Amino acid sequence: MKRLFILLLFSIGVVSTKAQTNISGNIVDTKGRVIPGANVFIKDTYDGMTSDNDGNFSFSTTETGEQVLTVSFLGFQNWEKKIILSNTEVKVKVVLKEAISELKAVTIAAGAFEASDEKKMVMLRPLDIVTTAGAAGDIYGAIQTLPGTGVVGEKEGLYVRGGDASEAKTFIDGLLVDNPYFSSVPDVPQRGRFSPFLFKGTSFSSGGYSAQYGQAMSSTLILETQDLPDKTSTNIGLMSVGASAGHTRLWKKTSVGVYVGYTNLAPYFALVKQKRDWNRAPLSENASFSIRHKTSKGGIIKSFASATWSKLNVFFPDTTDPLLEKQKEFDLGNFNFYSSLSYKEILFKNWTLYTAASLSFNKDNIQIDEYPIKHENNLFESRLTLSRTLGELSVIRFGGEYQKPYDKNWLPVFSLAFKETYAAIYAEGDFYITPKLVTRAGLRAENSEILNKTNIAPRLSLALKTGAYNQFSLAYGDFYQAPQKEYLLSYSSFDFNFEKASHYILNFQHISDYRTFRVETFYKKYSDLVRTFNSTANNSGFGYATGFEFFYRDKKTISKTDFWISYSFLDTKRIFRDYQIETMPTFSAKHTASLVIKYFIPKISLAPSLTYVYSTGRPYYNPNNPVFLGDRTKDYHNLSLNFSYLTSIKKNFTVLVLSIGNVLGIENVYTYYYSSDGSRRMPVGPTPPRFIFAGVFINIGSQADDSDKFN
Amino acid sequence: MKKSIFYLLLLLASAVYSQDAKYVQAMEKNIAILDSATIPASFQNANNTFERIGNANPKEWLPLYYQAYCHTMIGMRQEENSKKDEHYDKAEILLISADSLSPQNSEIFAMKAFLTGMKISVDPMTRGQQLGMKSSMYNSQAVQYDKENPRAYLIRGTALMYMPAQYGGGRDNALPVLEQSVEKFKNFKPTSSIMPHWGEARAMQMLEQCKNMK
Repeated sequence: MKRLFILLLFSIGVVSTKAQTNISGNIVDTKGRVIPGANVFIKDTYDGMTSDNDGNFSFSTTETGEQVLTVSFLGFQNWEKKIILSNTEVKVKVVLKEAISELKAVTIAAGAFEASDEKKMVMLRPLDIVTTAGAAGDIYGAIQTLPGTGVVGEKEGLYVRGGDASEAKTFIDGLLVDNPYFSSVPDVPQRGRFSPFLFKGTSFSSGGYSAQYGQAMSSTLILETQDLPDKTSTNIGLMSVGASAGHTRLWKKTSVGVYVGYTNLAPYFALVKQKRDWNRAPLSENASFSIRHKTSKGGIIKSFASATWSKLNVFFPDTTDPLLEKQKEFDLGNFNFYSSLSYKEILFKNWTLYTAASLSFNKDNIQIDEYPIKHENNLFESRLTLSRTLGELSVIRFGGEYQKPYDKNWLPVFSLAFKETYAAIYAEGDFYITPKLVTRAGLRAENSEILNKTNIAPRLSLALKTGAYNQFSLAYGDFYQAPQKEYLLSYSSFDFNFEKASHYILNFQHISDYRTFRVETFYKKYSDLVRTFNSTANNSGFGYATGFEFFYRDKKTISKTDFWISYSFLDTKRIFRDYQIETMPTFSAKHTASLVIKYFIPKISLAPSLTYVYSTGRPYYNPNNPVFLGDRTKDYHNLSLNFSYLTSIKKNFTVLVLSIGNVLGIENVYTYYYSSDGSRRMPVGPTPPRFIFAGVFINIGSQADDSDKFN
Repeated sequence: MKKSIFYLLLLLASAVYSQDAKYVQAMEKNIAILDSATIPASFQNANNTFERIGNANPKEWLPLYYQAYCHTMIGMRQEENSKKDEHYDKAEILLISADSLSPQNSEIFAMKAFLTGMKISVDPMTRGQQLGMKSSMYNSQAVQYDKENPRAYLIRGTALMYMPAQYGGGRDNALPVLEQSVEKFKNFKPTSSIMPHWGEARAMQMLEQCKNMK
């Protein structure tokens, strides 16, 4: 009994008089700079301390035997070492490696402009797109303030680095959108069909883009739709040109959204005199529906469907009239349907599956005077991508894309059908050699049934981070595109090949909290462009585009002001279509510059903003000039203003918007129409020199509606 | 023999108790250090101790909670936005872990709301709308899980003070919530010595500031 008691006491004594071992050392980073504030401790014990101002530490422990010494500090990788504790002092030298984080790692930046809320180092936020003056809430309008894009006022589309609008493609959730704009009307540029509010991320590439995409020789605009919303909410919009209403209901893992919109320019055209004679001002009705369901932590199913009906009737000049006085009547009825379904899931530890499909249908009923033209285009598209992460940052992706367009055209005397099957496979890897050096290597193979041709397009980029905020990027890639449908249809007996552009890009960028600076220079080589002769056509066209661009954005220098400046210099020539010589094409300008200023006056909750766009003249066709496209239009100027007033109506967040496009009413000239004998000409400019838009947007459910819980 | 079993049991009990007591004691000591911390280095020091305690007690949510608090405090005192975000992101990860150990915990949700508010302050123009909703959602949950948690009211009141009136914020909306916070702090008794007790002085200070707002 007594013995046991003594034994117990003895054992307690052993515990309390355990030997102590001192551990000391110094902590530095890989560059030898001392790290104060790091946590040094013996794993799974309380024993440890914080390194002092010189990175030194020294503490003692009663633990014995083999233990793990751990050092942790935010922004660095955990450091661990096995040590033996046996009464003799342990000295260690700790070198902490910087943690690999997306924030600190270099990114592939050549040619890319990204707007995202989720990523930190981006040049734009989705909100920037909505609030850019002159864009009038149109994604394309905002993109046109970025370097690399040209001003082509008479037609919709993105004209990037000497490329035609057909060389720029829009993708939503990885799927090609066949009709991203409202149907073309002679000399009246159209807006994009999709509201910027649908998207959480916008990525505009002016060249050198990923192997996941193809069939765009100049540019891609990649839009990523919103995930599950945070809350159930309702939006109401009342505008000078119509009304809209949307409601999104959120359950635990599922959301359903409906949206209806009505646009009618008739009241506006009645008030403000237009340059054109309109029989029927543009009128459109839109309904869309979305379901989103979160399947797991990283998995989501999204479905979206949108239908739009629109019609208009307008007169445009008849160029066959020698006096240029007669007019032609243009009547358009359009129905457009777009639907998509996508699924993203994390399969195993490192694998992610992304698959999506879309079905779209577009029908134009056009009548020019008494001639009816009917045009239908359908597209089915699907895509599957598998990606696997390698280590912390590297990733490899591979997958395939399949497109099946079907078009039908009914002209007054005959009809033409266009059927195509396009398939592509791709593989691409982002390999981080170090967190500061990355290379993206990709390969894309495409096959077109109608051309009966296959191409292999390599893509390669390299990016090197040279400082906390600075990085250089290089990109090279081959980009193929099937000739435009109109050529394939009109010259169907001829053998065509893919048109090709090769891009070489060098980029430097600096992105810090409040300032962004980017400079990029590029060379683009065009080959195999379609040329048409009297009755034949082939791929003998070629050309080039070269230039440099600046972008500077500053949110700090001027208080409460965010501004950005873009400048693009472009030197381009090409021989294609019916061009007789290699010359500067009609859709390009040598110098383009824009200035966007956003100001906020918190006291009165007013956000005025301004956009000024300048561009030198573009070539136009003058039959009297022996030099083909030897004339230039006068310079283009456009100043747009936007005022947003933030307020609340019955506790619901409300924005009042007043927007004026081309405030100074400058008579810009985009090109000229010549009479058939060349004796008379007529300028083509903006249909209304000035455009005024007013609207009220109410968001119900976004504000703090939890007051009941706190009272 | 009976006696020896008794001693043995006593010893075992004390061993178990001392493990727990050691945790509570270490926490108490470090919370006192945290309570007097004002500069980033002292918050960092407190954070490190909480990290060590948490590592040795992986089932406890409080060390993670206090670590998140420390990182939020350090983040607030950083100059560069990217540094702020680095600390806030770390705090967010810690709170997710804390939440999985102790679900539906009012203190954790109040802290989440606080952290989200600080994230907004980094870039209110772009983060305001989306994160504002998230912050108010966390705050509602904090109140739902414990109606008497004064910190939930303090954080909500502060958020409302800085929120534009158009979004449902402003002086008049913030004042009653801050008044409630001060009231609830008066009656607040933490359930143990290591449960969160911070915020009373801040609540009074915010209330004063709110009253003086135009």
